[in-house]
Amino acid sequence: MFIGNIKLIAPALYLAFAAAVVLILGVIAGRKPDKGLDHWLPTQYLAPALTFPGVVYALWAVLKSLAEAGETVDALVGSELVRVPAVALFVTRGGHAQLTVDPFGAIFTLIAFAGTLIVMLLSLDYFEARQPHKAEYYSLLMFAAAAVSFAAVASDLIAIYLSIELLSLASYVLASFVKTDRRSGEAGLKYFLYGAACSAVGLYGMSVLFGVTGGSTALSAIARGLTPSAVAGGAAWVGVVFTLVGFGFKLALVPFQFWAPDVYQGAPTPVTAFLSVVSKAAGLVVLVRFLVTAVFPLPPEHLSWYWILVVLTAAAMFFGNLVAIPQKNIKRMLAYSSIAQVGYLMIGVLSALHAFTGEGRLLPGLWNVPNALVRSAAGVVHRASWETPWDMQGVIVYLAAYLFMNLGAFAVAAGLGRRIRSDAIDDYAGMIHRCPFLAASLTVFLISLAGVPPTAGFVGKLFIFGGAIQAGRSHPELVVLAVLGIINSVISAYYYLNVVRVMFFAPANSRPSFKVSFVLNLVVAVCLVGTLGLVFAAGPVVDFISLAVCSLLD
Amino acid sequence: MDPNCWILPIITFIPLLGVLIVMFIPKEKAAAIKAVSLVISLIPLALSVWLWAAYDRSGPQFPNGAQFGIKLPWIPSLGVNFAMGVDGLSVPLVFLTALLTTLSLLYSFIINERPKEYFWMFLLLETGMLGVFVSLDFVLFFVFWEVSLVPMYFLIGIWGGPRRDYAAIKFFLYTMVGSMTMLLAILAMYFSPEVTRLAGQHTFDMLTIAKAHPYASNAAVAALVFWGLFLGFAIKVPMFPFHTWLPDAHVEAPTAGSVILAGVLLKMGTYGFMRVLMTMTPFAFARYWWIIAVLSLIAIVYGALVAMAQWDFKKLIAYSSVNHMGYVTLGCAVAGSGLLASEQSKIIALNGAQMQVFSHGLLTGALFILVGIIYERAHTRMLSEFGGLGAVMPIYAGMLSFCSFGSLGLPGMTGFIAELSVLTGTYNASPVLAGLALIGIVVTAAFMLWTLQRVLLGPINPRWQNLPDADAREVVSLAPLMALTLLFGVMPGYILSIFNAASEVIVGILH
Repeated sequence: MFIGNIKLIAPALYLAFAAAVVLILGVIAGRKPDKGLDHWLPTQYLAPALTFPGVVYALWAVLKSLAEAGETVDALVGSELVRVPAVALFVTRGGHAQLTVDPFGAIFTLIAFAGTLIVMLLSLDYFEARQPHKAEYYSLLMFAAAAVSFAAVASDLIAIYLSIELLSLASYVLASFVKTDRRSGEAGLKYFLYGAACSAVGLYGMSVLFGVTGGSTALSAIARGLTPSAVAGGAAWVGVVFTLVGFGFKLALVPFQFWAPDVYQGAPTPVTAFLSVVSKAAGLVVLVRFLVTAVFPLPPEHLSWYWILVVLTAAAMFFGNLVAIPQKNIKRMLAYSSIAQVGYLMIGVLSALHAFTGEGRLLPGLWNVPNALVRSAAGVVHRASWETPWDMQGVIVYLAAYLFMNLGAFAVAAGLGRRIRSDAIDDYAGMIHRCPFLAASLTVFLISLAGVPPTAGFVGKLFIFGGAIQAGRSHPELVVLAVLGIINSVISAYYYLNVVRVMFFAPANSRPSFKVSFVLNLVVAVCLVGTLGLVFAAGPVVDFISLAVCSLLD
Repeated sequence: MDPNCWILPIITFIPLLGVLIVMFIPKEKAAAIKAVSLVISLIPLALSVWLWAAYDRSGPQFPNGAQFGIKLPWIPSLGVNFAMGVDGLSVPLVFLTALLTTLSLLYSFIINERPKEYFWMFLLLETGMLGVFVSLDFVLFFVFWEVSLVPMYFLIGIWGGPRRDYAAIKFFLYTMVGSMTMLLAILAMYFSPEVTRLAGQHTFDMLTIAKAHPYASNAAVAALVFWGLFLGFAIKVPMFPFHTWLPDAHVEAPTAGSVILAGVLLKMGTYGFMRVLMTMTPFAFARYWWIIAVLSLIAIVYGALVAMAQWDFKKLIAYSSVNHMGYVTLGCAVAGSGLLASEQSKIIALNGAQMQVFSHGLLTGALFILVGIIYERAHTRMLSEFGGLGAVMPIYAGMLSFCSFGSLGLPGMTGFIAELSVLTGTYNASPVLAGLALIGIVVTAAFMLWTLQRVLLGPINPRWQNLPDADAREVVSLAPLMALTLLFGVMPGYILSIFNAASEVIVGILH
């Protein structure tokens, strides 16, 4: 066991530990509410305070893994000395790592932690201090964030499955957290039933892959086992597709999205925000790592999964956007919109994948490379050409933009929903008079979700469509996806602007204006700065992300 | 770097600074908001006059170069720069934008509903519009292009007429369709091997892309790029058959919104034709010029006929815009048409198109203000209800007559020069085309005169017996527009020499 780099997963370990602290202190404090421990160390403040170092820690991990990417170290595995990348952890025999803390995964950790912190602050406003079981609530959020962090670096089927299950279990409970609300209970149950089924299918697919590829769970080992002859048998095909079902559920990718609207509507709004951003980031990162590491080194003629994903991407955009149009509930509308947003993200993933396919590789066939040199994560293949940073960077940039704009939209929905006691879009009438800051901010977030400059959503879409056009020179289907993507952007503008129309153009009917808490304003302001600032900071941000993806690639 | 290189960012972003200033004025102080906005809008106007004066007519023209250029790195790894610069094509448009914004703000002093939001959105709109005309980087260009969209959506949606919701979203979605296809075409040009070969890396720099002629050797891809860009600009112009958003948006928009819409936003489309389409995809343009010409011809004739059928004064002016913009696109089509016409006649056509852009901005802006003036007083725009106003409102009648005559192309005003040049150039390329376009001129003259008759002459409707005449503010809003129309109509050489420098370079690409 080579565990020399365990400090690289320190952010996740720290957060899990902090979650346990919050839980224990909360249980002790919960015995005597309103005095003693809870008075001096209220959980709702303790949890964000303990999470914040996690964000700083995660940033440190990004920088650290950036510095170490490309280096290799000698590790003694059993009696065998293997060379492994400096960022590989828990290396098994043959040099396969179970965790790979590359900059790519580290950035996802950072995004997840930042998102969780925002959700916590939002919960502060949403539940206020009267919330029952707040220790459990906040510690579950922290456990879920830690799970996302593990998922981001998992490069082994077991590690992937465990982290996704940990995330799911925390999410089931969080979704049904408001016990007194029937809808919340329904959301939790629906999420659980659907999740359990998809998880079982995914697990079945993983076990098939384990069987047909020679009995190893590491993604890099599966990559070696997935030879064209193994794929020809059909069992491997089933294995890959079923595994993708498990990931598709987390991503709410069509056709595994049925749980999303009900769960998003029923769950407490901060939890919905968490599910729509942080949880999706986890699904995305494992999907990318699985495809890039295990599946895409195959020669392209064996990539029938790719075409399934192409079709699903187009379906996700159209389904999400078209069904979002008639929605009357803002949370439900944002649920469908986020189904469509996954479609845009998937365009980026699909165009980035071509950098990893078997065609035009500089290395000879992957299966000839000595074990010890098989880089565990995405580093298994070299790029044929390295032109401009338009590939995986686009996915990360879009996700960063999505983090701010979608969390911002949900933050406003949470803040307004609690105060006007309604999530109906029609009740937002004249909101610009009643609560100008939130209404104006929501406008910015929605315009950003539609991809209109000068917002972060535009920068994301520029990257996504740019990547698709670039890859489209040799893969015309991506140009088709880009065209479908712009059609969908226009469709989405219709229902996003409908909310703006209600808030700005409709009369307020002399309902009173109101003020909101400082912490809600803070959350919205942070998201606003992120949404509007990305355009101006695009240079350094893109360079930073490019560095991460470059170091991931060779 | 040019010592004057900061002038363009300053012109562009002063209104944005104004947005921040206005946001900090309490909304109860409406008078202060209006005054501050007006004063701020005078700064870009004054600077644009200076820009015009300091601009060197014999200096470099796009795509050979640009004047007052500035280029700062923005996203270096992607080849995105903060690049600005002007040439003969954009200097008059910068001035037109600043002028119309100032006059619109002055006219908008009557706005009493939510004035704070109205005025800062107007200033934001000005930044977007100015930015489009001075950007020399496609990402920057696209950002400004879209930034100008959002405030106009709100201007129509909040301060518009009864069907404002519908008009606002229709305007937004139509334009967004175009801008999205434009974005894809821009990305395709960015990744073209020609650009990479010329620049050594991918770049969004418009000068480089225009010099490289993306996909010159790949006709199929070039056609896709061309149509992607074309859709973006044609919807904005708007060309037939993409014009259906225009009557709705114009009729529902508040008066000043209509002025800006007709005076500047439509010009962004024709500016795109001349700046992007004709210089970056000249070979595809030469192949498909006849499609643009035919669509322009339809716009000219159909726009005029539909305008004649209108009884809503504002809708009439809106459709006359379709007609007038048809001459602009016809001039562009002829100027970009292969080797059919002589170089000289193509330059004349393009000069005429630019003149029409300028002239239409002045005259239609003025006409929308005139419609607004009468609507403010009578609360109706139906031509059937007017008549005999010439006796009641003599000043108004004079101004309306002046602008209508200008709009129908009376010699001595800018419209005449523009249409004459376009038709002269067109005649050399295709006499049939020029002959058919003449129908539009006749019909325009007919409906403009008929409108004058319906509004100003005939028996007076007793309801309007006591309508007050145009007041000083309204006259001041209109006077500069009329003065410039007359000035450049009598002395067209001064402004045509500016247009000519740009036209020679654009037409020269194909020769």
